[in-house]
Amino acid sequence: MAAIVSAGFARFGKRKDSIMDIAAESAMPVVRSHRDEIDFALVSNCYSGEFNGISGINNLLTTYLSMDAVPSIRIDNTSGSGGAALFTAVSLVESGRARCVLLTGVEKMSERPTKEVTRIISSLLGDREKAAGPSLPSFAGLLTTLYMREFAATRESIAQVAVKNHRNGALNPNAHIQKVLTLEQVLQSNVIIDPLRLFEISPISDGAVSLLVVPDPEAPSFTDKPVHVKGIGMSSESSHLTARETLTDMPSVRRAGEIARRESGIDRPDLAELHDMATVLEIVEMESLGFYPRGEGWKAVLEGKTEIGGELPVNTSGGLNSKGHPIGASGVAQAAEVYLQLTGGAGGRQVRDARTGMAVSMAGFGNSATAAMMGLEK
Amino acid sequence: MNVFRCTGCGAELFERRASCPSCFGESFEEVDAGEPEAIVSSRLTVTPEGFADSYDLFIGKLGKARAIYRKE
Repeated sequence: MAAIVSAGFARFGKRKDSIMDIAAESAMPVVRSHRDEIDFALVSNCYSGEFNGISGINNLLTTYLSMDAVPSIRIDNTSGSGGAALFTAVSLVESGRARCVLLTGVEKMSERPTKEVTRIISSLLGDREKAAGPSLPSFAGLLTTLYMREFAATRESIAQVAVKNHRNGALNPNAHIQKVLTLEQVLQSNVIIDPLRLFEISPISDGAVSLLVVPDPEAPSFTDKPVHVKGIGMSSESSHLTARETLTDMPSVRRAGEIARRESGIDRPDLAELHDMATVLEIVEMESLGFYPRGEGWKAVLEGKTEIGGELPVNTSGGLNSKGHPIGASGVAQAAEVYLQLTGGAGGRQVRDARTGMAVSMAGFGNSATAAMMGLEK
Repeated sequence: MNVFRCTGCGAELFERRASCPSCFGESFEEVDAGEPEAIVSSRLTVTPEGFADSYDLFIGKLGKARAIYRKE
């Protein structure tokens, strides 16, 4: 299939730098070593028009990196742009159309007031749904109530996801929030979307991540530690939340995960990066992926099974919850965390003997999902 | 509150579509489905630009469809 052979990072957080400089900060370490090989560039980015007043960011970036003749495409699939871009990168090298793809995920959001960011992000909804005034995280508030009601989950179990992910984020130098939190601190932070609290919702962040994707047979010429994409699946669900039977299951995540598992032959990864725009989503996605039975993911969290050192560490990077959620960068960052973990580069948050990992990038509120199963063996 | 009813199979939608998700028919009529019945609600204190700073958001049953609506 394809392999990831290099990764570069621009720290997530509130950054003074321009979107171009943030993107370049992540891309240059990759480009410096492989300028002559890169024959295609993908830029995962959602809102550079709305947030930064630019169009054609893909070509602007290749020019800024002085790769003026390298063809490029911008991939926008809202919050799931990064997964969609990885899917496209793998497809490009598998088809033979490209031999060495630079994949950069980037977003700069923090210059805009929160209410404006909230309006721009909710523009992915249907017209009547949008007219009711929801934010995307507001659906996570509604889902939290529905999940607790349907499965008798405790409020503490949902908040414990934030405790875990902030502990992990404090071990990630590229994470936005560098703060270890107690359960009490999470549950006593301001209510944002009843019943969800401030520390249970991803912050508004800037940041970028770059990867180099090449065909499997060529990977050894780039590095002695390639990470192979062994299976990758993508699926969608109605953009209209009012057309869905339930919010406590994510069919797009389930179907994408099934494809990734089938293609890779790996049923259960050693670790997973999931789309925890809000705490409750991590739990629901774990269930939709079949890691835990439906309605029992919250118990796994309480029992520490998803901690680093547990049976299936989830969001070792800190997740969107602590690492931050620069929209177009998030899905690329998830794949990059798996790359770091499998190559032994995850520092204080390293999972011992990790040989396989899954990254699940989700658009909207499960409107689309991409699941990538990665491993050290080809 | 209105819903869009497929004239082919009677499916009801809150959001308009070009094609019915049940029978793929392309003809709809807009009908009054009464008031929605709340399934779940949440108090929002961070809201989109153009809206009040705080209100209750609901998902409710509306005829054979579901609706999203707010109460300030």
